[in-house]
Amino acid sequence: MRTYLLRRVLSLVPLLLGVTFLAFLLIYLAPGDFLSQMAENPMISAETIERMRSNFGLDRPWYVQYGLWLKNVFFHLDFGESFAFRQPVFQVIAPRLGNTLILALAAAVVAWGLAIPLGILSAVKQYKWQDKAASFFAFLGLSIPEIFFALLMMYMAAKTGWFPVGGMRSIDHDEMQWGTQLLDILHHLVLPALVLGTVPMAARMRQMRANLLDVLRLDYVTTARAKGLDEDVVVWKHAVRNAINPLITLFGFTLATLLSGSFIVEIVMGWPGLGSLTLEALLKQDLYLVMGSVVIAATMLVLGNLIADVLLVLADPRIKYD
Amino acid sequence: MRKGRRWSGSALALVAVGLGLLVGPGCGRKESARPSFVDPHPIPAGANKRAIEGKHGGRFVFVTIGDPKTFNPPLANEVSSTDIINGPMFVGLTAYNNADQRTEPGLAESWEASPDGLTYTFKLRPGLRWSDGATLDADDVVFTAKVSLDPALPGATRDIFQSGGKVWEFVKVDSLTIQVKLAAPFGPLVDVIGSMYIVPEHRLAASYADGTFASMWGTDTPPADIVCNGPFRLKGFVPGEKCVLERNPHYWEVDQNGLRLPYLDEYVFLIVKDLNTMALKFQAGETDLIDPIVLDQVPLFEDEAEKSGYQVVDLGLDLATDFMWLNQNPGKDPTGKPYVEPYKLALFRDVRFRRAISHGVNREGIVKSVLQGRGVPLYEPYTRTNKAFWNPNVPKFPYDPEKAKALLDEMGLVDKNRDGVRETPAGKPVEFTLHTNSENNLRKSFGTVISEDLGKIGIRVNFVPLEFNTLITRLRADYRYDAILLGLASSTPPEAALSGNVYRSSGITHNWNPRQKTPSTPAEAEIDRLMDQLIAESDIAKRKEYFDRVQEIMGEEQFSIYIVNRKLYVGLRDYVRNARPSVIRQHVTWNIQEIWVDKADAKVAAR
Amino acid sequence: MTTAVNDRSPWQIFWREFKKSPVALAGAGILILLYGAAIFADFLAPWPMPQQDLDFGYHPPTPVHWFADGRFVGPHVLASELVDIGRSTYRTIPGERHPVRFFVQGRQEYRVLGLFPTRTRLFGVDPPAHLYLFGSDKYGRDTYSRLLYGSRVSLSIGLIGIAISFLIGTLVGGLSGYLGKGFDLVVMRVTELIMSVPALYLILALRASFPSNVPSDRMYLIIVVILAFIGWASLARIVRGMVLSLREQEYVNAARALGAGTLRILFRHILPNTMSFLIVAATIAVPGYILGEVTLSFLGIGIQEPQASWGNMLTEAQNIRVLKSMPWMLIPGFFIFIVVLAYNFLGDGLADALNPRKVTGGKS
Repeated sequence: MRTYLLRRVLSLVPLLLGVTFLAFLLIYLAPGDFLSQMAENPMISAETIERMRSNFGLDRPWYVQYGLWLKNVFFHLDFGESFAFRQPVFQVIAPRLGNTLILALAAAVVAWGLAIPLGILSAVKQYKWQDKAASFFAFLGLSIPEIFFALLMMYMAAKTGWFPVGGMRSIDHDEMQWGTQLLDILHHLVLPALVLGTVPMAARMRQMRANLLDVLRLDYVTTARAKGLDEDVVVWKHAVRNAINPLITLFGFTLATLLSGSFIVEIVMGWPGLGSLTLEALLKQDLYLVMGSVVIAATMLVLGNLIADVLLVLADPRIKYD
Repeated sequence: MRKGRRWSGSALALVAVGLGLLVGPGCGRKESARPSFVDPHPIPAGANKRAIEGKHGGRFVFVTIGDPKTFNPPLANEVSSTDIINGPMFVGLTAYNNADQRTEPGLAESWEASPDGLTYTFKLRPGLRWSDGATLDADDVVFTAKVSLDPALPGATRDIFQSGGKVWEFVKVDSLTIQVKLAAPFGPLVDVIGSMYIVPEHRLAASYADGTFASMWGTDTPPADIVCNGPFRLKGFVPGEKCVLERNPHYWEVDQNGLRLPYLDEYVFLIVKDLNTMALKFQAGETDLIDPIVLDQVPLFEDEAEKSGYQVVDLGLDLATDFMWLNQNPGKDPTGKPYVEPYKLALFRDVRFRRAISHGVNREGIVKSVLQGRGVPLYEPYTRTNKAFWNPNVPKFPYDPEKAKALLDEMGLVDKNRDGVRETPAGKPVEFTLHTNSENNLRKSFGTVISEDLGKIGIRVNFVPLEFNTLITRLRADYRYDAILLGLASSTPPEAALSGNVYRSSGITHNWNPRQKTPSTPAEAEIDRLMDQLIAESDIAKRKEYFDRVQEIMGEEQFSIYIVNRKLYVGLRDYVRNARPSVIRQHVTWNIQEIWVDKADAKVAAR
Repeated sequence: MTTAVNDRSPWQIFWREFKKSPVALAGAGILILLYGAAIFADFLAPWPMPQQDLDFGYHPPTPVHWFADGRFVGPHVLASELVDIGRSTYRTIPGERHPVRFFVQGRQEYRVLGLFPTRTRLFGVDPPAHLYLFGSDKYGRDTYSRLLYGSRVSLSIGLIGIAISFLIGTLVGGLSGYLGKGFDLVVMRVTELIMSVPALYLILALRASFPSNVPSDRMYLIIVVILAFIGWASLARIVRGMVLSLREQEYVNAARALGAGTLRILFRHILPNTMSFLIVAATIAVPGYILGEVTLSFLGIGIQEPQASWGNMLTEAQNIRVLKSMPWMLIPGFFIFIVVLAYNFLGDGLADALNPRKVTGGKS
């Protein structure tokens, strides 16, 4: 297990190298650079912009820039500075990353918390109205464009006043007690987590239903039933446990996709996460900030998958890695 | 009924307490919600008295679309930073009064120009202090000039503080007097110098000396380290969420009762990236101001205004303009390929073609549909809101498809193959590609209508919105485009002398044919001459005369085809007092030091 | 494994199973209807796609009347006029009746199936009346017509995208699984690379690196290619896994012993066995492309005006004023919803019908 983990972690290195190369190349291919925005201001002369360009090192060929960046990363663990913020990129990213993690976790909790019980219900009551209702609910969740769902929720929040309209903390947050602060964040978290969690929820629910139906057809379940075991015991003690296993693998994966897929929700619902920061950086071509975000996101994705594999081993003793 | 503030005498305070007791405990609680204002520091000798009255305390909540990137004024060059630091946190020698459109004293209480216009002497107010209590004097001004004009720093403000090709020289005469020396006269110096926001030498000199100035006062700086001279200072910044400013206890302006401004305890910027969410937040009462209101949401805001306790303020026509131009650049790229196809260039450089386009664009239709009546057709470079420079007599070529068709016929452009598109005598189709920046929904709408309109007079327009950076690359770097639709937000103050880059043929933003060595048309040569005369003139009435002529030539030639001038609306809560909304940015918060919130009263009214 | 002795063809078995599910049938029906409408959009739409009427922006849907003064007079509409420009409110002019005409001659010529030139459109009204079945947008364009034209973009983007990504995915994944060794190693690293960059970042970066100086029809192709480029990687990995297990099957060994070539074995013997999985996966993946286009439009980098797509129409409706007072602008959203739902139903039905266990075992 330990060597397996080590190998997986080590394999991250060439992968991330490839990712950074790809990202750098694509940013280079996009026309313009960080300073292009400034060129439109009639009060700034072309000479000023050229001067700034050389200050930022943007006048050098891209492979030289990439080489320098890589060198700094490897020898000094220095990921560069954001042009816009003039701060080391991780200083800019760190607080945002935490917020995105909170949102992704909450969405995952929403997704799993609803998907598993609904999936079980759906399977146990196959073709009954409960199944149909749950399935319809799931399809509904899969079919509504996330952007539009987010706007609807914001509109609802503004009209009813039940939830804050976007954001992560109230304006008085700093003056609150510790417990109230926590509640405040949770209150802000409900809608974004719901919107972000809906698609994975629907997908996992369908999966849970299918898995459980498969398991319920297996011999040992039939045997258990034949032995006259109570149906509840058959379902809950034997079938559900086995049906959940494949879903565990997906937990890490979903968490990772939630992390990187949250930026629409972050923008519309004002969640101060990594996604909206990266989008802005990408549009403004804030080169090293984009690179930093991509490295983080890719690492998350890969680590998410790794965690999934580990979870699977813990859940199913038959699987072993060496 | 509320009289609980400490005005000046303690007797008054006693009366107030008595009144408070009379009205009963309900009122008493309100008193505790807004404690009397206690000023811990002496008022500076040279304090500026403003003829206003208000109550201290409270918080004003505004929104901004992006994170501030720096708190260091000489380095800030985009609005999400400058909205927060320039004005609220830092001020200059002069200040601009948006409501009256004129320059007023700022940190300098007076100034004087030499007869030849080459030397300006500014007198600082005595007793000025930084927000940390240190003295603010001429050394700070000279230091600020040094960093603002340093070509090695990545700031972008340097270009406006120069004339005659040389940056201005700032000399300390004594601790309260500064002289500014120019190589050539610069008319609007006093207006422009207000945008040099003075920074503290005692805090920044060390970093400037050791070369770390460019990364000083980033957004990760502890708030206490950022020392400023505006009405507010930084209290805290949470990336992606909010930026909180608090009262600067050493601010140098007082109200008519001699009480120190600002009235507000806190000035909060919430960071909201989505325009719909921004609107909903305001309607839900989470913010005090929405500026501007997205035009097509105006009716929605009006419907809710009374119920939710706010006003929709119609600020009138914006200073910003939207216009399109045809690429008249005759140059070739390094491979020898012309920037514009020669047959198109010939069309674009023909004034009849440009006038035909102007006749072909249904500006009234755009106002009607896209702006839903909230704007007017535009034919001149400066909008009527610019009191100083608007010229109503610019030649106009309004919507008239028949005239447009006649002009095109006259040029020999007729549709011979009956496909709906005219051809040149050589048989080439009369068509061009029109770009705009895809982030701007209004402009995308204008372009959609324009391309349809021009289709009707036989000009095929391929309308292709581009991302801003891509567009700018086409426009400024490789010049490979046919036509572009863009806009220009006006500078504050709206000053013709600052638009040299646009109108001079050598200018970088002389969009239709930038950076010419010598003007390629007589009209452009004439404009160059007028701009030279204009910039040296310190009398604004004379400057206007020159600029009137420039605008007339622009209209005659249709180098830029102006489209519409839209209106501007903001939403403001009823309890906000002393606001004097103006069409110049910052529309409502330009006098933030005067603004106070009458919130407790609003609650009384509800009860 | 399925051992059901049956004299019917696999297609018949599939159909017998498939038609058991009414939702799947409904999904298929809806899709056939919508794709048909997309093909004949020119005929069904009363207006050409870009045609504007700037005096009739945000016009609500025009009701079609059948009776006048209690008498049946056939379908007709009432002319309307603008009352308040700032609020886009209209009132009908009483008495001005304009019959809805069928098989009218439009102003613009088009070609049916790209072949036969004609001007005939299914219905229309004479000016100055307007028949806005689904209301109009801010330029006074007919939402119903644009919905039909937009469906050409939105419905095909998924099909073409999926075709490209499945072609690449199965080919590369199949070869990778079959050949193994160096080729496999390279392919797997590349897919890992693509999959470890968050999809939307990759889309945005790719989109930015393409020349955007192109007309909207070519932009459409670029967007399809980008979406497909992202989509093939995960598929290639799954196909590779399936091929790995299939290539050691006896019948494959037999084919190899008979001297069949690599590609022949792959295409004739191995890949067909992954077909049922692929069909279901493709059906379920199509909505991703449709919703992907919506997201790109929201970010302002999707299909551009004046070309209509459901994504940019919905983006236009992404406005709280629309939610409050112009609900007809949301109709494109409703159609997106219906199509995605239909694909999911269809995919579910296909999965059930193609599932071998179901054929033999039935319900437990």
